[in-house]
Amino acid sequence: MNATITNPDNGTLIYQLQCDVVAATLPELRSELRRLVDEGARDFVIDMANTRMVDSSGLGLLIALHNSLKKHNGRLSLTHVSKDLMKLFESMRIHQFLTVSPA
Amino acid sequence: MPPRRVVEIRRTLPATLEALESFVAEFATWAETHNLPQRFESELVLREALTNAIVHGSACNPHMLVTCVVRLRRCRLTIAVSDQGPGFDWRDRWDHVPREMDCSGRGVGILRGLCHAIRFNQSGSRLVLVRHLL
Repeated sequence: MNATITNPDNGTLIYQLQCDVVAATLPELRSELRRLVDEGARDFVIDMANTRMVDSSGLGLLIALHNSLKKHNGRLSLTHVSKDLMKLFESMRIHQFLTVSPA
Repeated sequence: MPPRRVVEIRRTLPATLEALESFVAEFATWAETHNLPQRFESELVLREALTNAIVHGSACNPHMLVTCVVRLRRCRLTIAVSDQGPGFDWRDRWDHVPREMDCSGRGVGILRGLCHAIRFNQSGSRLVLVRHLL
């Protein structure tokens, strides 16, 4: 079950992912993330400590979230990203427009 | 070290994402049994090939079938995936570079970055990928 924590000091929403971001998990994740943005989340941090795999559709979801937040002057950061995922994000140049920090 | 003899898994799956996840789990066990190096990259490539066949080739139709053969010989991993769909114009997608804000179109780029050889059949309904693991 993915969990959210909101930092009361600065309003940052930390979304603790508990699954991979792949085609099979996309529908539920998309719906959850959309709800959080609709409810006003703008400074969005996805904690990927428990995420081992992201495929191309998962990359698409992260970029769609980035685009949504950008429209509202918000931002997306990814934290605790594994070495394998860091390499993938760098090869796909995701790190050029998302803040990505390693595990 | 990967095995000297040829080892393979061959499956025919219904074109569903649930079947994809089950097969990927089976692949993970097989990869561990045979000491496959670069497991993350190999799994990602397998996922991209299967997702393409299931989502784009078969529209996630559970009545359609996708065939997958994963073969390991020494340090050469071959993944062959076929679907029953009409195919697609892979030549049109080959050189596509997605823009920053594009939410799709990164699958072929991932395959090109991680595979040493990529072959589609004429219609695009069969894909063979080769990775050299050392």
